[in-house]
Amino acid sequence: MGATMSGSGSRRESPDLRVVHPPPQARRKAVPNEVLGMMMFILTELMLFSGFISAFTISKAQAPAWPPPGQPRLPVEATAINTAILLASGAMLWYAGRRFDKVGPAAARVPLATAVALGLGFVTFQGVEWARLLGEGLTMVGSTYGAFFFLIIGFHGLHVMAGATALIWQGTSLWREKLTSDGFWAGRLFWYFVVLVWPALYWKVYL
Amino acid sequence: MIVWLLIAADALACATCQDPDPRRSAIYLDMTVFMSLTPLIAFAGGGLWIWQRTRAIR
Repeated sequence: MGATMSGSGSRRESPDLRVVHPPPQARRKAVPNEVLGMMMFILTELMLFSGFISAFTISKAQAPAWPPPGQPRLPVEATAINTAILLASGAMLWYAGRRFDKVGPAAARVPLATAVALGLGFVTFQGVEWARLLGEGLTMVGSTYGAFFFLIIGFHGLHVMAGATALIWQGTSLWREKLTSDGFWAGRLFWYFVVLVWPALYWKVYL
Repeated sequence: MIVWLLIAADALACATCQDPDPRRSAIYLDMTVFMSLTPLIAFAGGGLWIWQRTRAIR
């Protein structure tokens, strides 16, 4: 009672709670949620592929001859060209991201479509090579060599298809002018991972 | 390289797998170090990048 009325009868001012506890304001984030989540996901993916490489290297070291006698040889030269195609896809997506941020979303359409087309070209080429290797007798259950090849390269192929699907979905959002910069950034990060892990796989499995 | 210097020469024979072949035991050790360092480097790199971005917007 005494807290609200002074001795002279005037009403005492209550403290302005809006000053003491200002309403929350949108703060700039150091890393967008989409990008942080994608980074965590990529970290788990990195460990997955590291485990594959480690297991493959140890099995290869234990084998008396590698590739095992009687097994078809992997298409080293042709896959080198395919590696260049995937790297070009990554470079094109980097360019798309740069155009998106510097010029505007519409300027990223052509480079994004080119990056997706190159990625799909990579998968198609892999499919043709797989069909040829299967025809030559390299199967997943036939030998450790074939099992590791189809497991590691197949897993990467699945990632390429998943990444390309995500980029196609982002492309449709871009056309409808609904793609956010942060979402596009997260999608690009995944594709960069898929592109950059491939030379390591090529080096370990093919060479 | 630092990790290699910290490992005693006897350990290079790979106490875990007891493989007497020096080439194979070296590969086992390489893969052990690789699997240990990969998450450390990834976490450290990502953490450093986030820390730098956090400092930049303050």
